Order: sequence, then structure tokens, then C-alpha cells
Amino acid sequence: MPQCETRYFATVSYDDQTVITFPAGLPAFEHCRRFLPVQDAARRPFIFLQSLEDARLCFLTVPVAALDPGYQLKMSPQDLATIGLQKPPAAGPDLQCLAVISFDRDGVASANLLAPIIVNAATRLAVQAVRDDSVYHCSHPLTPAAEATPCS
Amino acid sequence: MLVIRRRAGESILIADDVEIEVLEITPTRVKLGIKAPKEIPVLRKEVRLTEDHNRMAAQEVPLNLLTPLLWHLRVKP
Repeated sequence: MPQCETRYFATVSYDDQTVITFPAGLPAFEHCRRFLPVQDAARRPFIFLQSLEDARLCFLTVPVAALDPGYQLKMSPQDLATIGLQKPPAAGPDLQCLAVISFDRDGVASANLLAPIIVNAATRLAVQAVRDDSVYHCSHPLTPAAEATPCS
Repeated sequence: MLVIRRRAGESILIADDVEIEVLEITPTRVKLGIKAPKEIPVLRKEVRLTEDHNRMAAQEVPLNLLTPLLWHLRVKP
């Protein structure tokens, strides 16, 4: 079983079947294509996407449904083709929709609902699908600003 | 901000080598054609916002803050 260095979980063994591939990389990280989803039971439903090409690169994501159960997915024909689909898919177990989470200097978290990561479970191909409308924001707050806990 | 009114088929020029032509206007969208040298990146603004968000997301994740965040998610662990 192959092993990889990770940013937050030391060395982990993984099954090649679970690796997801971004044929086009991610915006600003176009050179990173292969990622390993790492989930730890205590932190469900968060999913870490660990780069297999750069041990220091690991994104924290969460299923979009956990933030907004009514989220309306919209993908361009080009993004659909990137993950091997011809027509807009129905959301379901065959399609995973994840939002990338970032933290600002004050420890306030925000999720990018403008550009969710879409994983085609059948092909294990993924794309960060940047929407071309302004329905969702790229810094969707996870916590109301007033409740943010300081980082200490 | 400079504001210019244009009709379909009309263009604006930026510096010597960038041309933006209004190709088509519909009630909800404007289709633009952009001619620019290869070294000038042309991006939808949403892509730049996502690049910036991804760079921030690639920084250290404060793992100690994740458990409190779980309470704000609709789907509880």
C-alpha cells in the first residue's frame, strides 16, 4: 500500500483507488493534480484534501450540503467535460460537492461557495468549478463574525 | 471609474494592444471578445477571487478551531 507524508496527519497509508485527480489543478495551484481525501472521525464532516505532490499543501473542505442544504450546483460545459461528464449531473452519491475553507488572521473561517470542488465518484476526477454568476460568495462565513473565537 | 456606452459590434482599446469588443447583448448577459497578447492574463474576476481564497486556505489550518465550527454546520457530526 502506498504511503504519503501529510501536513496534519504525519505519514498515512492509502489506497490508490481513493486518490482524486484534478486534470486542471486548482486555481493558483495548477501544478497540483493528485489529492488524497483524509477524514478523521472526530472532525466529520470535514474532509482534508492532502496533495500527493506537495506534502505541505492540504486544503480543509466540507460538503457544501453541510453549509447550505439548498445549494444549487451550476457547472460550465468545460468543467463537466474535465470530470468526464456530458450533462449536468443530479446531485447524489455519484457526485461529491465540497467547499474549500480558509481562515483569516483572526481565525475567522470562510467557505468558497462560488467555486465548489466537484468530484465525480465514478472516475475520481475533480474540478474546482468557478461559477459565472454571483449567486454565491467566495467568502461565505462559517461563523457569525461576533462569535469568532480568537486563536490562542 | 471610466464609463463608456457601447453597442454590439463596437470596441474599446486599452493601451496599444488590448481590444475588447462587445459581441452580443442579451437582457441578462453581455458577450465580450478580448484580443490581448499572450503575456497579458485575462481572467474572470471570480477565478482571481478563488485563487486568493485558495492561497489563504493553503496556510496553516488552526485544528483547534474545527470542533467549535462543527456546531455551526447544518449536518452535525
